[in-house]
Amino acid sequence: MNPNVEIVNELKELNSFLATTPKANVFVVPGGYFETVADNLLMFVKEENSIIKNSPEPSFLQVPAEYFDNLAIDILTKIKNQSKENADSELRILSPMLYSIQNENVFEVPNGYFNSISDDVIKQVAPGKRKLTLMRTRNLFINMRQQQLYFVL
Amino acid sequence: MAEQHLDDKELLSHFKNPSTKERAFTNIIKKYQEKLYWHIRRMVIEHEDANDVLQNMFIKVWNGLENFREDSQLYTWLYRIATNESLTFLQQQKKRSTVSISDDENGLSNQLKADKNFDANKIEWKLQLAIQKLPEKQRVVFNLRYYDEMPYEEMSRVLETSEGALKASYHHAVKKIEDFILNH
Repeated sequence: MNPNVEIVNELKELNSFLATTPKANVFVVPGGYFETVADNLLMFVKEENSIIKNSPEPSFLQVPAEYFDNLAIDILTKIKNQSKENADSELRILSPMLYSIQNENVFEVPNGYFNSISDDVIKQVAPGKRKLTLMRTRNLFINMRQQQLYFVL
Repeated sequence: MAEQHLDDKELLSHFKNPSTKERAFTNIIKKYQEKLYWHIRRMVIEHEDANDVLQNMFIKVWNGLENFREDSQLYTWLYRIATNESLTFLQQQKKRSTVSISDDENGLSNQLKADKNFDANKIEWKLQLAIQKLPEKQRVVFNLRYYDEMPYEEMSRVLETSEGALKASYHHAVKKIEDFILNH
């Protein structure tokens, strides 16, 4: 086959030796490949398609029943579990000892504290019940006199 | 149907007719098999791999041809699928490779060197080694222009890249190939 003049001229403009080098094909194809490839391909395509058609797998266009109804909840659950898993597994690797004691609470609250706390706060903020409470801050700086802050509750 | 003389439009119309579909498909393969095979083979090097990629691309053609929009050319579309399938194959091959491959000793160069006819002193083999050193997309551009003699306008439709960028890519590729051959 004669080389395309346009291609050769372009290579000449680039001063490339490829302009004068004959194109040689170094690759070998098994004998008779091109005589049979079309029939083989057709057979192959038909087989592939019949496998896909007869496959019990659901079509890529189908989704399980109620999939979209539960998707948001499923994703949220997964995210919540994942963040818990991440923190757990991180601690398990960092410190097996801390991991083993992480859920043991050493602090106690008076009985019924969480049941009555909202009522107690409401009572405190009711009109006519305002009073000044003295609170101490932490000593933050050396040589700094202990400071007192006054909050109106 | 006088198969060998049908143009793409006629082949497409026969493909859309269930009674002539398979015949039309066989004729499309026969018409383009060698061009597409060699385009793929130059990318993946080994015959078995080229045959696998050719089969996969024709499965895609069979499944997609019904919806093929005739405002683009069948030839362009086939080349696009062949190129994408070849690049996908090469990416998968890279991922599968457990051995770390450096730029100088990439797998395709090794495949070339393993060929029983390989001769490092022959210019045609040196050219193939030089081509394998090019980045994948530049290799596609070089092969389409140098071997397939594809006009930039057509290549632009196959690779969905501007003609100017393709021309620059081809010119860079030619220079890189020259440098490689002069220094090896």
